[in-house]
Amino acid sequence: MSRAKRIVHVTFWSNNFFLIMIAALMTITFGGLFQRLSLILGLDLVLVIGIFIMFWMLQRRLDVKSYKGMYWVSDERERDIALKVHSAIMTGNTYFLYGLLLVIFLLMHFGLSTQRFGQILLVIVWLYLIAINVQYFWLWNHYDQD
Amino acid sequence: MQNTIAVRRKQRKLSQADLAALTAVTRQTINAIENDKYDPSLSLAFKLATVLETTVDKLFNQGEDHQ
Repeated sequence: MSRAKRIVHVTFWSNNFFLIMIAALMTITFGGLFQRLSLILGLDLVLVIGIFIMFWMLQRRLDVKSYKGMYWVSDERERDIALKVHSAIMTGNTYFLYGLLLVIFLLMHFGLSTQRFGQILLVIVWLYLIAINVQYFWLWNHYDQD
Repeated sequence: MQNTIAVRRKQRKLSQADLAALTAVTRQTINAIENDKYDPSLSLAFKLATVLETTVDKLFNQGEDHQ
């Protein structure tokens, strides 16, 4: 497995972890559980450990020295793959924004409270982040075959 | 684009990893070029030709006069 593919795998699982953490934060916010200090501190601790492990993996195991530009690619073929994947993601983003406009337009007809409106948008954006993470992972594996 | 990289590489007793190191690309890229899954840039084609001591036109062809 190439270094680029290994970096993509690490970032895929890290993103999944961070998205789960965001979901937990959203649950705390939506459920009004701010008084559960131990829960929030526990989540913070898990988050910090997760970030530490991710950077440790990238810097120590995968020899990442810088995070500028397309730092994970090593040569022209991998740059080519990154461009193909990014192009697909950008197209998806454009459709998502159009869809989001439509959803916002529709939601405005339901007379929702600002709180409920925000919650629905947050969940939609969260689901979309999961989708593009999976899409990126799938596309990279599809194009970068040994 | 078909090529004779694998044949010429083996003649020089180089592994894919050796050739990758000599041309500053990954082993996976050499493998993809040899298996006709990736067409290299002109600059990489020249590097490969130099390392394999041949010319670009002898290394690559469109298919009909493959060596």
